[in-house]
Amino acid sequence: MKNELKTDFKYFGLYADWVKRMNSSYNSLFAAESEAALGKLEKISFPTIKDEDWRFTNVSPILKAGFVPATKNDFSEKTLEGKINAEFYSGLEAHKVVFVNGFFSEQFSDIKNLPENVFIGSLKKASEEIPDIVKKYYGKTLVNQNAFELLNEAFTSDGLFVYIPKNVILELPVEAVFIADNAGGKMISPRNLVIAEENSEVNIFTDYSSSAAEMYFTNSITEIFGDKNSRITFLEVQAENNESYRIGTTKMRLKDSALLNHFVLTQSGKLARNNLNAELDGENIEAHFYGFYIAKEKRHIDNHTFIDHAKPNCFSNEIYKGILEDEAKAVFGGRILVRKDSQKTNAFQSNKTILLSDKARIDTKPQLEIYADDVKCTHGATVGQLDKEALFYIISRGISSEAARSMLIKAFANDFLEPIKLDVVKENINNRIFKTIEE
Amino acid sequence: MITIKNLHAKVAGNEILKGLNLQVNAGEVHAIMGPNGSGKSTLANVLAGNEAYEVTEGEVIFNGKNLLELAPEERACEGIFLAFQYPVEIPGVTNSTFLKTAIDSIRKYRNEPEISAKEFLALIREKAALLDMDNKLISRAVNEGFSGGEKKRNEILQLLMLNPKLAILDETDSGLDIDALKIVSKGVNHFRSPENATIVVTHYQRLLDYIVPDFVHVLYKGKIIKSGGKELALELEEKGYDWLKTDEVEAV
Repeated sequence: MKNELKTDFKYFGLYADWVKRMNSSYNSLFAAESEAALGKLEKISFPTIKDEDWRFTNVSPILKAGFVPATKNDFSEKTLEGKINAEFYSGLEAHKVVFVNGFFSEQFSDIKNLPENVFIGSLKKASEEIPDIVKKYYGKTLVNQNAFELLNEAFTSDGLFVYIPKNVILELPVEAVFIADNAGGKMISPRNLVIAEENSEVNIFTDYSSSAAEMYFTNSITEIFGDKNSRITFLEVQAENNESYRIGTTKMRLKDSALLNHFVLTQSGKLARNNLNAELDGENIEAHFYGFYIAKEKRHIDNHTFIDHAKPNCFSNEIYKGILEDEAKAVFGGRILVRKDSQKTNAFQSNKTILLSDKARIDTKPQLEIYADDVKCTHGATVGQLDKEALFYIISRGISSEAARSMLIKAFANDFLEPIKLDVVKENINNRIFKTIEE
Repeated sequence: MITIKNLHAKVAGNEILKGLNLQVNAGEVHAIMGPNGSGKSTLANVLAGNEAYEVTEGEVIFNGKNLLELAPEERACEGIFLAFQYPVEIPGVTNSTFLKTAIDSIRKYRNEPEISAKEFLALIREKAALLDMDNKLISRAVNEGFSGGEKKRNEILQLLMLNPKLAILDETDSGLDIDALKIVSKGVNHFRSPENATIVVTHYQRLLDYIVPDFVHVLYKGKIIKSGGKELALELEEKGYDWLKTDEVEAV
């Protein structure tokens, strides 16, 4: 099996060539990590449907496609002019950071004046300017990496870096746009790192999209560190074209009294697998995880989350919802671990899916492992169609069935939308959800 | 206004209505009473067009139109309104958006222009005040987190806003305390006019102390077995339904 996969995996020979082609855009600070990752990759296999965590998501099309790591020479910023602005949340004043095929674009980014010692922008640049801070955190949430994580580590060149020092409240949000351009056959490996030190606050809105309908592969890693009393909002929109593949890994480590609101909206893509891993490594943490997925045709969206209650007195709230049409498939794996000493844990999990056709399908698997005895953990999963009684209620007021359906979908999406505090963003996300459903 | 002839209807395969006849004219209030399972709510739902109920026989003529041929939204646009026994919560859609959408849909059906925001606001404030409803409830999501009484009051607010020709109140009194009952009744009495009609479906007589009916009908096993004036309700309150059941057996 292992050998068979290795034949599919063509990256080893590519590495030296890629480093050469990368030239100055190669992040030499992590050369040792990259090479070590590549070495580890040789020894492990990519997951298959025989692995319990990947039972419902077959990644072999990604491996068979033979994607080649992207380089900065693949695209021209000139051809992107005029397209980029449309990607932003209109009317949102923010520090704007743009990445094309995983490479920071100075030209399109617009980072406003920053408070002292705050850093927003390119990870590569940060690793040159403030290497000590970057090194202190980079890769620290990654243990027992799977093959995709190692692949990112081996071939990443850049990504979003946000550093908010102690006691700083960043007033303007950060808006990070990741666009794939001229990316056919390419593997894009963004590597994002967010650090919110003690008593700091930051709001980050990220958006992944494509400039054309090409087949490519995004393999991202986002690490988020929330120190004591930090307040982080992180929203990720996955709006890549419907030929694209995505493996997205998000790993978080939170400390005492941190507050986190994490959102992920998957609205397109041929196959998307999101691995979200949150370590609640402190007391009195409040962490909210909101997910929303919309899939049509034969698309596939898999969200696997793992909330690790490593310390007592924390609250986690996880709500993942989705709407599936045609022959679309979705997967939800929700693992919650409450360790032996994590008393007074309060963990809530819910996964609800609306199937708008008979052939759409969701596989949902809650997994609660509780080793403490004084905890409150609840989980629930529902799968169904739009509520017929509710539909009747609305149309009995003279409203058309179509409008009634929209209203119920809006009602369904409300758990995702309501916690988004910034109205401009909330409105944008609301419109995206409706546009995607009505397409 | 509405003529129901020999109406038979099924729900989940069981025949509930078994030949119901009823004539309601403009300006009248009819109370439909009867024990549990007699078909009261079925009648209300069939008239509003709930697809869970299947009409197997009979006809319903509403202002000259064959009501059973119309979709629920068309019935609403023609002037049918059902106040639900169990109003549905719609998170994320505010009461005012919901009502404005409903009013505009009905106006569009009638080839009338949309209601202006200003006109709408004035209207909803007036009606909410009549029902002692806090203005905050107007901007809240439809029925979300409302108490049982607030939900029923909200049904009456919708009734007043949509101003239909025929209002059907399905157990609107259930779960209401006496103060809420008075307010809801006040709303219904405000709605009453020589141009419209009301069918009050209820289990108990007490609602009829406040909404005084012109006619009372007893529904039993899917048929109306006795009709009378408002005094019939009092008689039912006093004697229960058993004496009527006997009558029916004798009649058969």
